[in-house]
Amino acid sequence: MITLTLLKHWQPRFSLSTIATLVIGTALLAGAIHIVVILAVPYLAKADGWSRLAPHSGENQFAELPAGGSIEDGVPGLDPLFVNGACRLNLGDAPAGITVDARDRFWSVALYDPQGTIVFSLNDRTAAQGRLDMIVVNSEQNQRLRDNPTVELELTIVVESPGDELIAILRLFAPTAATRADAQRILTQSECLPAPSVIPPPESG
Amino acid sequence: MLVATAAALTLGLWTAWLTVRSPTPIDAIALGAWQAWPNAGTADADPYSRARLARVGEIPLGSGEGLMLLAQDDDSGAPLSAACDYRIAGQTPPARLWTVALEDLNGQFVEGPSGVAALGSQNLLRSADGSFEITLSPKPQTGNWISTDGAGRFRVVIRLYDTSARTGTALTTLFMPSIIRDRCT
Repeated sequence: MITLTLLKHWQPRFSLSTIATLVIGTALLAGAIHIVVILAVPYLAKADGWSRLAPHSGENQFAELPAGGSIEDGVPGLDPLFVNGACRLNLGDAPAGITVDARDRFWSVALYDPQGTIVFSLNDRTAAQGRLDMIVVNSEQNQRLRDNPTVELELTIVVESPGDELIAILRLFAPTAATRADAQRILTQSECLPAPSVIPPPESG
Repeated sequence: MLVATAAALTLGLWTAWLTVRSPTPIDAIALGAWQAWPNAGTADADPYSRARLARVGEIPLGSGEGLMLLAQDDDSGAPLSAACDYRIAGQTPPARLWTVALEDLNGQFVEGPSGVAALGSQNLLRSADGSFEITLSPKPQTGNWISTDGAGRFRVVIRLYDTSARTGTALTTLFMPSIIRDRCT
């Protein structure tokens, strides 16, 4: 009743069509804001996976990621029964080589890009006898590799990355104190290095 | 006009916030009490998944690694809490290795009095038919036991490694264990 009276009272100033336009306009604008916010979050978020991983990642080697840690500086979503390592790759100058040698346990490797996408991942079943030999290249290096195939790459997994910047994550199953120590040893022995020799130098002239 | 703009702003921001909370119902597959986000971190991820992962900062498992499933409620829909005992009972999921871990509502894993509150499938006691039962309780229990001592409100995370559950429609038919509430204090 009150609403009706109010509407009647307002009628001289706001016609029903004006109100309808306002309501629809509000809904449309709200929808547009919703979409813009959702699309903008990945670019604005300061605590995304990449910026949480990067400070803990090793250069030219795998560094162990902190287990647990505080909400501010930890890396959430890691399995507490695993030893996790991360290594930063930059393919700008040269491809990167990753070598892991770990038998008798589950382990996996993932390549993570700044957009938060896992570009490539595998587990120890794919690696021959627990040994992984992987070369990560960008598209231009991959093209050169295809033009000049080298013999030494036959037993190597070649992965093409869409971008130059990556973080390699190595996860090793380590449920007990003894296997943890073992996994930490494997982590330090695993290689994650620039591999300029894989690609023949660009032809001069 | 001003009121309408303000309302639109509020509505737009609020609905956006609702969808990027953790865990979000968007782009999730629900299996009983469990939820999974198989598209998270893949090239197929929709904008909501991307936004959620960017906000939470969680590193998802790659498709060649495994799949994470998360439960924050028991089978009756009540939130999990250390005030109650629970039984996680069911059949072994199709994976070479899987782990069960407790985490708090911020995604940080729970540490009990004797190390992390987690169990791996390699030392899980099973019945002859392959079924298993894990007790969640603050007090020590016989059989498979994960301590919830000091956990408060918590979530259960199951991670399946080297699993066939990610391929095609396998996930929708995956049979996940039930979470049954026992007694509460």
